[in-house]
Amino acid sequence: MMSATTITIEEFLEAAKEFVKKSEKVCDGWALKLDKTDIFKTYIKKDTFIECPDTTALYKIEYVIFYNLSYGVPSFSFNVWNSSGMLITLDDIRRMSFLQINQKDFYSVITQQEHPIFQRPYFIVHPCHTETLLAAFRSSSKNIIVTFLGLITPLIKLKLPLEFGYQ
Amino acid sequence: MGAVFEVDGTSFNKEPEDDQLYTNVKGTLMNKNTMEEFKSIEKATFLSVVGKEIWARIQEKNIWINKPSSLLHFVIISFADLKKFNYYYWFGFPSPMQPTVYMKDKSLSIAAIFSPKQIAELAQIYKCLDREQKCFFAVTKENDTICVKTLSSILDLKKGPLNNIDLSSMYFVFNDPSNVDNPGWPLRMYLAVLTDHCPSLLEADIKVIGLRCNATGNIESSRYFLVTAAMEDVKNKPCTVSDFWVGWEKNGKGSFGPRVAKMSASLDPVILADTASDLNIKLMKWRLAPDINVDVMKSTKCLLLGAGTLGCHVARDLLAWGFRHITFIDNGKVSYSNPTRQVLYNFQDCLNGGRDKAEAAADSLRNILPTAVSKGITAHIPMPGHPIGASLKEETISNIQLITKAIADHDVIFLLLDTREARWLPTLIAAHYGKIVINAALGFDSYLVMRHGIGDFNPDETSVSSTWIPGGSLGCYFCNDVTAPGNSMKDRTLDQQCTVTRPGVAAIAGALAVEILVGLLQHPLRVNAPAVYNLNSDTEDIPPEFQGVLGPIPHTIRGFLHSYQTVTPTCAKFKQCIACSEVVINKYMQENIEFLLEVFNSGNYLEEVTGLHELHLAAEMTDILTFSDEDEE
Ligand SMILES: [Zn+2]
Repeated sequence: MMSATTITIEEFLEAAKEFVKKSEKVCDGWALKLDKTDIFKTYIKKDTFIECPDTTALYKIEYVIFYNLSYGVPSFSFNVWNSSGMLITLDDIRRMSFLQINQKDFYSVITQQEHPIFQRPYFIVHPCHTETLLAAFRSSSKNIIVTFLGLITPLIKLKLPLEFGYQ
Repeated sequence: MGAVFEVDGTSFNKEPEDDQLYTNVKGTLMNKNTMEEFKSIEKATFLSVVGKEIWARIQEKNIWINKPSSLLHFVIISFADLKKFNYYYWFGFPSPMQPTVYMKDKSLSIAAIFSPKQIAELAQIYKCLDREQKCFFAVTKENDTICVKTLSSILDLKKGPLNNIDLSSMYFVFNDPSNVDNPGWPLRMYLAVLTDHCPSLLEADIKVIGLRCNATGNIESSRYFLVTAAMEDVKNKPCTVSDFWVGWEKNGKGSFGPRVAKMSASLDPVILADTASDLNIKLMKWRLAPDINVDVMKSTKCLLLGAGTLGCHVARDLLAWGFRHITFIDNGKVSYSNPTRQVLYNFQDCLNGGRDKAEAAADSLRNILPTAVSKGITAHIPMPGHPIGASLKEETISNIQLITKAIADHDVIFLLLDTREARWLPTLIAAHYGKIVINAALGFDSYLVMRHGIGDFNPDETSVSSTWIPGGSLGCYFCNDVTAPGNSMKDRTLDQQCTVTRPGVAAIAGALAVEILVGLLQHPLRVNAPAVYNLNSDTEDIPPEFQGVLGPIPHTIRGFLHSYQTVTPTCAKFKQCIACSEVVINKYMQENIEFLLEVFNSGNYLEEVTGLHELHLAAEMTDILTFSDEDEE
């Protein structure tokens, strides 16, 4: 049954608002981008910088969590730019050590796609297993986005102050 | 990681985005219209000019005392090559060279001079300060607690410190972007204004705190510097603060020069369209078929003979599969009946007598995807049994040369013509050059799609007991057909004319033609990929060596729409084939145009050359073996 495991856009928005509030308390940088004309285009995002440990090159990362209408779950997407503002390719991403993805499974987990909200290429974590995983945690989850990020962080080093900030 | 200096789209807003831990710095962007102008900027002079302006501005009524953020300023010089989407830019952080600053000691961690409690107080003070005061202020230790002193609370607006202020007790704090032991660029400016305003500070010990705040408001990596500043003569002349300014940023190579951002991948719509359409194919690779070779489609050049219903469908499916090089040969013009079935054309193409199909089809492909490398060749394909009059001889020869060169220049030849005879010349030339040939023909509600073998006839490989035929030994369109092409336009039914087919037939056949090609290109043996005799749906029984990345590849697909049936017969080369046999190819190699002209002039000549003539007399097999130009019923 779809309704038993998927979440609605309203549940997503509710969780997103609460999540951003928690983030503000610990200065974690997540912001809510509300789209009043098309509620499905509402998303939360966080901009951050990372330094490549080997080259000390600086990268800007934008994380975006949006509502995936066809799967009925939150979806995680991101883009990475170098310090001149040039987009990093998927193969470069694959070699970057800030991602903790098993190299063998990389392409089945993260692919580059046209983003449903921005219509530009983004790296999107494939949502096919999200629904079943979320369903398993749902009854015990206080905030579905915190739970969702708990599923993502083993894949990407987000450095979220999850343990102390969001519980 | 140290502080990040970021300029993005929001930097052009009048009111900066409000973020508690960000420091806003005003700057000047100077964009040059040509590369020459950009290069000819005298860089050292430029910074000194900008510096003098900044100095004059902050000196006016000593505005910096009430508004310390005015001490921070940056410049960018830039040049945008908008055709190539290359952006050249160079950041400068103007800082006065005078006074000369000496570090009295190695810098220390803030923990060496402040207690944890005091550090926490300083962090809280910093957090609560007005945005304009955050960059430069001072603190004192009083009874073990930290007291904040804004610059306006310690300095006289006219000159020097306020009466009761002891500058030597001050810790001068600045927002320090550095993440190494040395202080960052704003300190030069800070010391310049302080010593200029309070000359007593020159040559004196000055206590400085480089406040380094991370994203969560923690300031524990801040540094303590003990410095002195002195005005020095330059070239034996006393100089003033504002004379010499430095501060150009080093580029990615570590030298003084501009950086370049090549932004075409995210800004050029043509490249965006190309990469986005590629994503569809890459997704197949990432998600479902990891062994797919994405690049082989991009590099394979396809020649489409016929830009009618079939040609249009094939071209679109090629684009969808990531092919980029597509050439059409056709001699027709777009007519009013075409656009509804021939999916590359529209109403406009029909006007004024109609555009040349080959050219209109090529243009249409580039409209769909600008990176498609597409062209049209308008040429008639001469046919056996269609005599060439003296007046057309020259033109015919030139057409043959055009077609021959086009076949030689491409990797794959699609035969998408509406008569059987027109397939003969390209079949022969493609066989001679060893090109992959994909052939599609339509009946009213039936179709044939096949690939041609390009090897020599080898009876050993096609013995009766074998369950498969090597790709090279597969028959061509004419191998299974014991009559030489006559003049079907004259005395046969029109069952291959696209206009009398059920519309879906062309779409199905076109799609299958492209899928067969992709199957071949993704097979390790390519054109030599074998075809099995019995290609049932149970592909698990088929040995892995016969299956490519996308599965086994049939020789022929024949489909019947009236019963929705498909069969996949496999047939070997025919030794006496009138198009691909050794005897015909040899004759073509020896006599070339002369041989071709003779074939065009006489429908029976090919039968004589191949010995088919005798075969005919021996058996009447025509009705059993012909397809496609005979009525299906
Ligand atoms: Zn043949």
